[in-house]
Amino acid sequence: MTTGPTLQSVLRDRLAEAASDPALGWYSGRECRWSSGAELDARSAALAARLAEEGLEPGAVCAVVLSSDPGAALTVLAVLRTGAVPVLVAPPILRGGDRGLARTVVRVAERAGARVAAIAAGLPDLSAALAERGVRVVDEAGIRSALEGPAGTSGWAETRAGDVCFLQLTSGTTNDPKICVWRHGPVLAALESMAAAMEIESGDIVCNWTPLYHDMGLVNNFLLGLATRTPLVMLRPTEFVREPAVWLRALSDTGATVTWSPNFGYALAVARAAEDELEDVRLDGVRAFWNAAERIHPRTAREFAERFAPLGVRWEAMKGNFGCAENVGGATFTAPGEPMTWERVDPAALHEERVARLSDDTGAVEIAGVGRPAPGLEARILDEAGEPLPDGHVGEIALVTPSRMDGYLGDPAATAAAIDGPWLKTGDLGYLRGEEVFWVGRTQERIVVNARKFDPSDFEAVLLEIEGLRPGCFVAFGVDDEAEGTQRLVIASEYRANGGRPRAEIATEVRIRIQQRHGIRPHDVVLVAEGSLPKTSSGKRRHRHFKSEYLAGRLTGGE
Amino acid sequence: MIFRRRRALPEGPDLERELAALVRAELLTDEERASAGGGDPCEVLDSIRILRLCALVEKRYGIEIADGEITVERFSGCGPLAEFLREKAG
Repeated sequence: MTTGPTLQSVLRDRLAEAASDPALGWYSGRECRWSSGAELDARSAALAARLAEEGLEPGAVCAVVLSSDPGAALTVLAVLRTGAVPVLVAPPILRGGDRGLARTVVRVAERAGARVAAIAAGLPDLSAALAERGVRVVDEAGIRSALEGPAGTSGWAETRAGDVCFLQLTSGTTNDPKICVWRHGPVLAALESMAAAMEIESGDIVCNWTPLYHDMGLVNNFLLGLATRTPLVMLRPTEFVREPAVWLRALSDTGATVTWSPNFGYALAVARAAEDELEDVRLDGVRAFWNAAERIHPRTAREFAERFAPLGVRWEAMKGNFGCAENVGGATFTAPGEPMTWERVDPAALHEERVARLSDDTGAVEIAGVGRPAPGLEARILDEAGEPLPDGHVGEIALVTPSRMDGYLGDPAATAAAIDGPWLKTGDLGYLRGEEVFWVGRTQERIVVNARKFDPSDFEAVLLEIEGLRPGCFVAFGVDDEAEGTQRLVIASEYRANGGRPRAEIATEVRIRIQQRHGIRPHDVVLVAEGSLPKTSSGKRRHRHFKSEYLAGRLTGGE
Repeated sequence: MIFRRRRALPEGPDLERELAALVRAELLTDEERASAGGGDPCEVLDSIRILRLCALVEKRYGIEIADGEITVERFSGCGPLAEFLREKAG
């Protein structure tokens, strides 16, 4: 496909149409600073000229390692404007411990062939590592200087519909993440189907606190808002986490009608938004609170709707969604006018027989519905042989979709596993009930803490450095925490009882090192005797098995 | 942040003690409180809770900690954090 619109041409046209209208606002405290389409166009042109001086040109790749703020948003626009391809990577919240990040970004930059990198301040290891490899680094000061300088006049580079327009990591935290290759056609198809599923129309205002480097912030909000000419309000994610009430104030003060958050954001708002921070806040105008990117806990949605009902939140506005980077954006959506749904099912039947059997028992688990396929998409549940399963049977969620990625960069085996004929196999487990998709989990163990995705292997490098642990003899898994609305990390590892180090000391080191490297604190560190965590006969670690053992109280360190 | 409750920074080691008490009371789980004992409670914080600590510090003392100022070194314990807050307060 070489003709037809591209993301560049669509953004260029929409910004021109919204030349004197509010296009993108950044909300902070109790104020929203709006930029018109013309302002975004002029500022991004100025920065594009600066990036072009560093050698950024059509088709080249630019790594963007910036906190989600107005500068980052303009950087993404500027990179697109040059016809280059952005790949966004999350910078660490805790600065100064960026050696691990440097390794990850350098690997991504090498695999993607990045020519230029725009990086946040306070990342000296990363800056040095990139420069060593010949990547031109533009730091935050350079970005600010370009944005504050004279308005730019350069135009938007011409691109073709079949060109690559984005590289997107499947996880912002994994040591060696898969990189999805997105071309213009599928990205535009994703935006079109999402806008149709959400019934975005004139008068809507979208509000978002999730980061730009996350699919939810980037596609479901930033690109969707700009491409549909829907005014978009953004918040810094760190400001939301510091003070969750700011999100609700932003919704109220800007008249937003649509918003997104992972489940933990709703839980955080329920737990932490103080009454005195919500003075004069009204949420009657919000028609859709979308919940996605990690397991949806129906209990969290109910608590959110209940707590903020006096401010105008209606249950009908609570929505579920499922999407993945491989599909560019959202794939299934709760229907407009309907609330999200859920079922109570028998957990034993779900996990052992892989059947969702409705149950009223006290031990039944709630499984959230994540909606129906967006217009133009088809969803099926496949068994391990790739055959469609009937309603209520658990299998892999597969999509026939016009917004499918091209593949994983430099990884033909993973691409072949994900793209099977017409099907995009998502790696997510679920079942159908009629047209509604219910999300159950992942085909492979993945840990999702506050919407940040980790692979168990991400923790291996840290554990290898700790004296007293048996190298490679560990499992890592996430356990659901309904109160926090997300997962908690559990690490179990074999340790050398005769190694001389007290077990408590080793466990403390595990906690501190994982916190320093990954920014999350293990909920539990279980140190067990040598030989307690056998691998399968093919040498695989049995994370899922030992998670069951842990939840059943059978995986303990003993005395 | 719009509702600030400013309080002068306590002198000497009192600030470190007050920060430790703040972290224990507002940010630790019951389990963590029980297991932390007399250790430095800052060591328990993940990045989300460090951001919440920044919000608490701003509310209590009126000192705003920018995202770029959140470093491993400054948040490695209540002592280094107290020192950083004193520097910021001038």
